[in-house]
Amino acid sequence: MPPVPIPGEFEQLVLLTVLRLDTDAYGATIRREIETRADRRLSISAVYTTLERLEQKGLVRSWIGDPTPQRGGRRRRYFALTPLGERAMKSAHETYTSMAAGLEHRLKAIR
Amino acid sequence: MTRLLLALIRLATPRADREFVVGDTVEEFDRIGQADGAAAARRWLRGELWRVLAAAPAHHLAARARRQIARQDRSGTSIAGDDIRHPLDWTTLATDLHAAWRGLIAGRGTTALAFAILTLSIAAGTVTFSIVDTVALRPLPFTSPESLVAVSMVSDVNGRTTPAAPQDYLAWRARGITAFEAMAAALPGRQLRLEGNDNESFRSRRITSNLFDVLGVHPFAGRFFSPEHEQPGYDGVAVLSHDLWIQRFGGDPGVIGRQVTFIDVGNQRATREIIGVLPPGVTYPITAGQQEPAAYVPFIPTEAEQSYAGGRSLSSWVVGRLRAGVTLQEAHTEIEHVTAAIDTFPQVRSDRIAVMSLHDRVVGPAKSWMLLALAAVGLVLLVACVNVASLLLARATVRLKELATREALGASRARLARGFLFEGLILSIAAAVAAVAISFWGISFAKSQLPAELARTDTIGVDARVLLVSVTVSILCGLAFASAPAWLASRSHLAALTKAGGAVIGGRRSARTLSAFLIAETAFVSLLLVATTLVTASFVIVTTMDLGFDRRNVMSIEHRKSFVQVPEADRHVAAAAFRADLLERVRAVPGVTSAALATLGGAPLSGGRVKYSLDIPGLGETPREDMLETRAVTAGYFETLGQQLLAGRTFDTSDRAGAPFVAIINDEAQRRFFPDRDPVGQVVTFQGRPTTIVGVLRSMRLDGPEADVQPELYVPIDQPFFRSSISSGTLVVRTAGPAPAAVHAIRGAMRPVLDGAEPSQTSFIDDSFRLLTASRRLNASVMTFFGLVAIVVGAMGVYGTMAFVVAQQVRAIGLRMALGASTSHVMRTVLLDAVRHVATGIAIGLAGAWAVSGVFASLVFGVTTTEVGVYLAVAGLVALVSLAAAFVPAIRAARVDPLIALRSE
Repeated sequence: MPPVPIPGEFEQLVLLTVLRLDTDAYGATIRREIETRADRRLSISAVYTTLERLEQKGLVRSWIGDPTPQRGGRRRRYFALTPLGERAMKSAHETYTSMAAGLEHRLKAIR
Repeated sequence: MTRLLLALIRLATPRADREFVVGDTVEEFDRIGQADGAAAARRWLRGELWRVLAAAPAHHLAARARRQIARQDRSGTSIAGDDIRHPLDWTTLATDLHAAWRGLIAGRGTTALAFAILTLSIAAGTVTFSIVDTVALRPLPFTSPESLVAVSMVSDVNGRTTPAAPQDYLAWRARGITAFEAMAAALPGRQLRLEGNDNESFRSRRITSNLFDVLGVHPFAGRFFSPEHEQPGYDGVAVLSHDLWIQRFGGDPGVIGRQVTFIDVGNQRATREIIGVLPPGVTYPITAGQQEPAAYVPFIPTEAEQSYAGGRSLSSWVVGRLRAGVTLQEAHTEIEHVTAAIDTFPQVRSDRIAVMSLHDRVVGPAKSWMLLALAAVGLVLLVACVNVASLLLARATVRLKELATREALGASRARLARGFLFEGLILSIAAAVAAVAISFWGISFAKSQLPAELARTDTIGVDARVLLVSVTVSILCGLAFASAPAWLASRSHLAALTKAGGAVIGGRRSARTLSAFLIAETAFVSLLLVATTLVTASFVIVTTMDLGFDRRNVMSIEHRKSFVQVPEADRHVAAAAFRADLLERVRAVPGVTSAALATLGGAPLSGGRVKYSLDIPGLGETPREDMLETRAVTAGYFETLGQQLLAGRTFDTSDRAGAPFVAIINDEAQRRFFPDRDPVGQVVTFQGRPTTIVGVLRSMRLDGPEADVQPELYVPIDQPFFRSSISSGTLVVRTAGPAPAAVHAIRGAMRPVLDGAEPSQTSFIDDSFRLLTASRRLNASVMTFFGLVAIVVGAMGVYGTMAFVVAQQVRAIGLRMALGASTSHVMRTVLLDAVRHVATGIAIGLAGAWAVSGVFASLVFGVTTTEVGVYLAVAGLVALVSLAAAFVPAIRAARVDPLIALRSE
């Protein structure tokens, strides 16, 4: 089994979003999800750049959907986590929660 | 608007992701439009464009990395950058540039050679253009310079254009020239210095009060003259040129209104109020050597300047502002008409009026020179381009296999062609940068070499215009020479070529183009060399011409001596005593071998002349065109100049007042007036006095090598031919060593007898000669330089091409040798191949030179532009150099080992 790569911070945000959106994960929805949840302005290019990188690392895979009328007949490129991506996200999350364990109150108290 | 923004976002996105990115953007745009309204959506889209642009580089890098991985997965190899169907992608462009760069580095030798050739020729072009631009193309620093007109005189003797006479100007002004809105003049004033500043003198100019109004110049500070300043007694004012104001007054604005004392060369003081300062860079007249700092003072005509009686000095730079709708021709006709009506001139005019635009007057003398230099530089650039093109083409042919491989792997031909264009562009832009750097040095060198007659040279420099032109020229060059290999790459069926044995067929195809290049290059070089030879031959003819006197180690010093206080009856005696005294003192100076005095005409080559007619028995008064250049001289004048006596005797000290009147003529006068008799002993009438001709001298070329000899007349200065005794004279001195070394001592010896006045204007006849021949010298050095560059570059081209041809034919040569061809036969074949092309090129080049030879007629002296010898010499030289260049490849061909050659491919 290959070693699990450790995704970067923004990569983790994208991975979590793709996981959450499940079968509806493509550029526009991923961007919208991050913009609303993480409350930050993103360009679509930044999303694609990250997805591109994640795909090269083997953490996500992509496929091209059928043309849809609501975007002028243009196709969507859908994304999903690969098993390696799922493991990477899981390990990243475990690392994060174990590191943060017992600190929740103190972190909440910081204004 | 929305569409445009979307299109921009699309363009900024890597091709592979465009559809999805645009789709996502449209989806989001619609969503925001439904939720918050169309205006909010549009605002969002504008912001999105900027965000996309900011993120684009990272996106492209990521996309590119993915493509490479994908390709490696497909083929197991990496072929960087050959993205086949999408030739105009950012990344592929970057890749292509990078590949072109690597290609240039790989062919280091060729690249360095091409770079050197290009840098040299572009630098030559940049320097030449910056000079031509400043001197000729830029407008004059006046308001509406196109309606400014210069009124000048053109000498009948040597065709030179000179300023007009003050007498003429005053007459024109008095009668009024209706073709002009206004007319003004500037005359040279005395050299001045400031009180308390003993060393540095500067020029002054006497100008009419309206000069700067006519030119449309506004004061930098203060004001300019008004008409009342032209009244005697009200002229105690001065205007400073900007650089004089900076240098002598530290740019102090408080100088306006100050009274300043100026001291002239005759030690006379004059206090003037400074009333204004000119803007920087403005000067009038604009002519060579006149751009140094100057003070302008009002022009108040002297008595001599108002009357034609004492002759005319051609010193007034007259400028007029042409009335709207009036042509130069009309102005000319009117001025001629007015002049004809007032002409009460006792001596005959030996010049005519010329009316031309002020710009032509300023640029005129340099025009032919600049055309020549531009043409030469153009030819050198052409040769360079052809050369670099054949170098790159030869290399492209060698790279044919590589190209075929890339094509087979999917690179489009356009893509391959683009690679060559990029190589060409990188090369030419790099060369342009280096060339501009060299030009800074080249321009300062060229400035020091420019002829004195060229105006505005001090402002020559590299500026935005020059940079623009040289960069444009180099990019055009780059595209031009890269187009040949690019064309090869785009047209060849590369894969087919490779199968058929590659290099041979590709070689044959490009060999045809190479032949054309070789012919073109030889033709250009031959054409340029014909011009070079003609111009250089003219220079040699001019400088080695026998002037009829010895110009080395001779100087002339002008001086004045007033005899007004001597009673009129005694003046001749007093003047004779003064001259004897002066000559005795000068001859006593160590290093002086001989000295003499002359008056009326100046020293040879000085341009000063006075003409008189002679009454000859049997012929009568000599007509206008046969008037004699007359000088009154002391004994020893001819000996000092080294003038050769052909018959009779020269003057001696016994030719003085009271002795019979005598005169000497030259052989040109003998040819015209005494064609079939001996002039010596003939009695003629000069100035109403019966005069015996006692000698005949060899003619001098008084106006330099290019002017025709004129009839000359000499009379003894001590004999009273003229009613008034002469107060100004020219001392001519021959020294044993170089003349400049003795100047100080000689001037010192003159001072005690000049009543405190300074001897003025010292000139060395050798210097005058150099000045007269300066433009020929420049033409010759420019052409020799360009000619040398062209022939060196041309020889490199012949060498490169033949070396390539031999390399391409190694197998064929090997085969022939294996079949029994001798080495000398192989060599002969290669050389003959070269000869065929070179001879064609020479023939075309010489025919071209013959066809355009009329253009250089004005630049040539002493040879005709169709001189067969010149053409033969050029043909011989080009043939010789080309054959020498082809010799090395020929030897290489002869050394081909058939066994190795046949096995090689």
